[in-house]
Amino acid sequence: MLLSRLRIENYRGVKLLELALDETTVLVGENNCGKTTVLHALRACLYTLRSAGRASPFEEFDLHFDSQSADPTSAPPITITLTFEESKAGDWSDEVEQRLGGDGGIIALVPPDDRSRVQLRVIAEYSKVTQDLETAYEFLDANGKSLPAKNRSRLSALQQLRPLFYLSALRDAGREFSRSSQFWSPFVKNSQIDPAKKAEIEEQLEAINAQIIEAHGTFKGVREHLSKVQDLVALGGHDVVSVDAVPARVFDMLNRTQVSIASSTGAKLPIGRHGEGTQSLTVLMLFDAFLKSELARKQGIKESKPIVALEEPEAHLHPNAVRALWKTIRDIDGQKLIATHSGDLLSEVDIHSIRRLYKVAGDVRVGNIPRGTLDDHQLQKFDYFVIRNRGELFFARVWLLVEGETDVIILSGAARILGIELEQAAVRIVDYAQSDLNMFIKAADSLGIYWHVFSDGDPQGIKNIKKSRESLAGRTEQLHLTLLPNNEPIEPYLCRAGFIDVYEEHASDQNRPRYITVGKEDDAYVMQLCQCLPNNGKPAAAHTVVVAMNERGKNSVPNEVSECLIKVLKLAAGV
Amino acid sequence: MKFLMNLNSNQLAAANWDTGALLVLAGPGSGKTATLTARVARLVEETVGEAFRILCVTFTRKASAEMRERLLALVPNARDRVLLTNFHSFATDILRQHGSHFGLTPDFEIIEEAERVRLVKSVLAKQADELTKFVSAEKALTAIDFLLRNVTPNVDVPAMLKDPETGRQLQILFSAYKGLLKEQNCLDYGAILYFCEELLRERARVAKQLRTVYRYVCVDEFQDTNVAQYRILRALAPERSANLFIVGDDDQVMYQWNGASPARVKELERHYDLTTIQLPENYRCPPEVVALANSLIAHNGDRATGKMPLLSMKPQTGFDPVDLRGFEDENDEAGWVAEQISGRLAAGARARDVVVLARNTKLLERVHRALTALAVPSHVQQRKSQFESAPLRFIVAALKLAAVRSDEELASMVTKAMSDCIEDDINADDLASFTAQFNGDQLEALGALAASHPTLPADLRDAVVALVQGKFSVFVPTALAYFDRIEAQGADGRDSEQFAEYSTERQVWHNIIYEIGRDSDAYEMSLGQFLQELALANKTPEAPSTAVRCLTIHGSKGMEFHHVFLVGMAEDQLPSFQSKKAGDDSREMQEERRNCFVAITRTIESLTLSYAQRYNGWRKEPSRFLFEMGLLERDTE
Repeated sequence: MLLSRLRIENYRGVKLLELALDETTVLVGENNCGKTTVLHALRACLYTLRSAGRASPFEEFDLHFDSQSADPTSAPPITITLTFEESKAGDWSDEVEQRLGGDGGIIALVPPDDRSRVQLRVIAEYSKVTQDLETAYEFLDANGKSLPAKNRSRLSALQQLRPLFYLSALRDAGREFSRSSQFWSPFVKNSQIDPAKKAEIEEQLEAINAQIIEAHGTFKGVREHLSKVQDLVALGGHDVVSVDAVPARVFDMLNRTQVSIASSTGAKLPIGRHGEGTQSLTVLMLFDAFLKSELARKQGIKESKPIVALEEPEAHLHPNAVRALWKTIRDIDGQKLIATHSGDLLSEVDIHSIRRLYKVAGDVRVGNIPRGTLDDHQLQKFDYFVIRNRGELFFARVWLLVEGETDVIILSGAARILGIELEQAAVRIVDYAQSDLNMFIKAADSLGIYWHVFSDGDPQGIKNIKKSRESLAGRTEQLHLTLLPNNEPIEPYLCRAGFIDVYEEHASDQNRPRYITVGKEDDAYVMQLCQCLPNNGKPAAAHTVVVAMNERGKNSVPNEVSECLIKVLKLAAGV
Repeated sequence: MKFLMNLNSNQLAAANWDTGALLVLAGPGSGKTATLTARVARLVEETVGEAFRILCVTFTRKASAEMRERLLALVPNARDRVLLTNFHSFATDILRQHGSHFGLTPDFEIIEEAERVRLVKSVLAKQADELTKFVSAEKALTAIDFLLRNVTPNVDVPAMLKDPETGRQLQILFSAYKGLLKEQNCLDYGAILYFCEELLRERARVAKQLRTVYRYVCVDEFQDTNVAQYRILRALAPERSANLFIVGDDDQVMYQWNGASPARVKELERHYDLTTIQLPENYRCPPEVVALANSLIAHNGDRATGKMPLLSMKPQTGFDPVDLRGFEDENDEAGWVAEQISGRLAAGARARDVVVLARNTKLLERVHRALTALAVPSHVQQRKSQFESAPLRFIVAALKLAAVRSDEELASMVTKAMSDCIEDDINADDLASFTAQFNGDQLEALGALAASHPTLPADLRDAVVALVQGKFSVFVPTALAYFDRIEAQGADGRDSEQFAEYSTERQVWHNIIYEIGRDSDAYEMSLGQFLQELALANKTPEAPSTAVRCLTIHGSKGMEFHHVFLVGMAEDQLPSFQSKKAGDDSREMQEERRNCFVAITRTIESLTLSYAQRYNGWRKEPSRFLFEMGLLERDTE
């Protein structure tokens, strides 16, 4: 039984968000785009929310305020809808159907194929009467109408079948290994010591205590003095006062257990004293151990399978450790929802499971690459060029798609000279020469990443521009395409834009007689000059152009180049 | 499992039944409920850790509530593993969850007679040119009910009637009526089963899910199952080897008029690889009564094959527990019965151990009057589908109004009942003036009216305010607490006529809430569902324990009494006039014989039968059943 959809309305920064979930789903996106909000929405509905009791899953600041003047009394209700749906009718096990179906059941059968579906809707609204947030929830029928209140008692069955375990980005090992921790305390509490053994141990503890105190000496007088309490208040039996060097009960002893890890010097250090990275990793391992142990299984529920929400598992970890960590995460038995900022982590992930959250005019959107968007060949290319090697591209707002190394050098150089911070604007320059422009455009469109194609005028460039024009689908050509003039490659263009001196300098004298047939004043000269660059000389020339541009100042940046950069900035700003 | 140790060998064989289809033919007083309960308890105990449930369908909500109590006493953890319900409640719940198939929302209304008549009238008026053959909406409803309980598909309707034109028109009316129900998001009792059956037939996955959840299905009082109920059962257990546990007695079929039939048991044999266990042992009646019952029922032709006679398990006491008396006329009969009862009570019998049984209410009322004349408290059960006292009329109408917010008829019912409660005239016009202020929302208007009314008691005002705020769980207890207080103050505080039925109906209300699942559960429901449960509940008051009960034979189903007085044992009474018209071997006559069989087998200690020579001035022969039982002998000429 998979949690297949999550809909969030008016929760924190999210006005409306619809998210489709897979067996594994990886959330990426800039800070403040709603990743944590998604995880917290899940935690509120599947962990904090209870069918009885008053623990409120929401607080006032969880409300969505769409203006500065908005306050809780006028904020729209928080509405979160979780949908568990069969991918095909008959997928769910008998136990799921039994625990959630039948009299007072919550399984709706959805036409046309009558697949089973459970929808939980949680609504929190500010009540003028109690002056507090009031949370209500309901299950929905096949038409989205509220099922009778009686059926709400199935919430706990749902939460037992699909318990949510949430691990936040802040991992303080000292706290996670304490007896109040969700993941550590079950190991502490479920003691398998039999009563006889326990009594024996406690007897020994008492003896050791006595020995220590006796040997220590100084407590003796104090104890006798304290015993006088007995004369004033009625207390039970002899030896009312005891001074315990070690805990007298096994229970207390277990409560004080702590995990230590040997440091590089070999000394045992409590886990909370280690570096952030070690702490983080250890907590993740504890989490994994907890999930794998029987302790996570809800009593009597055979098919209890967790939904695991992990926030930034990569926090504080070395890139290699991040990649290795993925194996641990992958092996967790349950549905996984992971929020990450790590391109390294993404490099291990199936691209279809990635959801990119981004904001357009304040609204959160979800981008993903649905199956079938890219063909097999494109998938291989994408996997190699993006996932494996440039995971950070998922975090970009704009892809500036260029044909080769020269374009990359010129555009990034020009940006620097113009004082344009491409990184800060979340623009990434992507060289598509080795792969497939179409693939990048399709992927960008699916993920909600803006793109701009920068191309020179040679036949291949014109073909590329033509291809990208077909993908515009109503968007303006002006903002998305830059085609250099004169049907020429970029080098003659740069010559004509004032950098002919650079090319004169770089042209190999050996080549000149072979290619140059006309005088400098002839229009064809520039083209011939550029042919004289030595093998692999184009990038070197481009670097020199950038140096020259830097010396000559902002005004020396060719028009088409600076305009392209300005357009890209506009796209990034969402204008 | 200790509870198995008290069973006899036949009961034990039934209680140990595991998988497959079993029919338990259980005679009266044979301990069938104990057997059924033991079997369910055993299954629960043997499958701890499993998540499937056992479905137990009983005949009434009361029977479900009683069996729940017995079961939980045996196996406390059975609560989540067993669903005890009746066909109507079960079907209602299915429709709440899956009624979207018909465009119903889960809070659909369950309508009663008056509203049904209104719906039919609206169809007849709207299509007056087409629908010319119907004399009255009431008559038309009888036909609709017949079609509903026989799950008649639209196409088959014309063939049901001799006159093709009437048949065609009934088809139009029937489908228009069903359409109107769906459109207005409401159902009647018949339609609940009809639509549920249709849903299970058309949406295979709904039935499949139910089969996954309910691996075992038990049905009590199977003999009174009608076609719609049986079809629902078939959808829940379609395989020949289904885990079906059927308890019934073809000799106790009493609801033939509602579609029950002794043939249903034969149908069961056709559809399932059926094993039959008989429980002929009778632990209730004196041996003499068992002998009468056996002689009587042997005259019926349509009985289960191989049906064994009842076997008396009680010792003879030495004095004859059966008495038969004949009288000149019905008044003499009633007078004598009343004196006898009075004497028994004087000799120490408790009123609740005595019952007067008759085929019809008219006979009972005569005995009731005679008992009243002797100052013996007695109670004639009258089926009620609605509350009559002003306070409960007010509460129910206000709840219904809260659910729909505006409805002229309900609004005037609320104001009328409210006026009756406080003896002050509030009329519909008062409400109408507020209604305009609230854009036609009559509930808000009711709140405003209550807030501004000069003589409305503060408690009632608070109750109404809570209702307007959507808190019906506050409204009901607040209003009831107020009425209880007024009732306790006695005659001064209230209009005695409007409160006459209050204490009885208050008890009925209490029982209904208990059957729904006590206060906590009942008032936790959504208003829509609460109204559904209320509509399904039995509103017939129970007799006070200090009164001698006067019951129709149908009303005594499943009960037992120390002293049974069966009156009106004459032709045209028992058997009824209609059954005689149908013929001596007709199914109607056989049903009358079963009625007599059920009546006498209620007896624990003594059975007194009586007849008069004349009823309503007409000469009547003693009932043929007296002869068949061997209590009278024909003159041999």
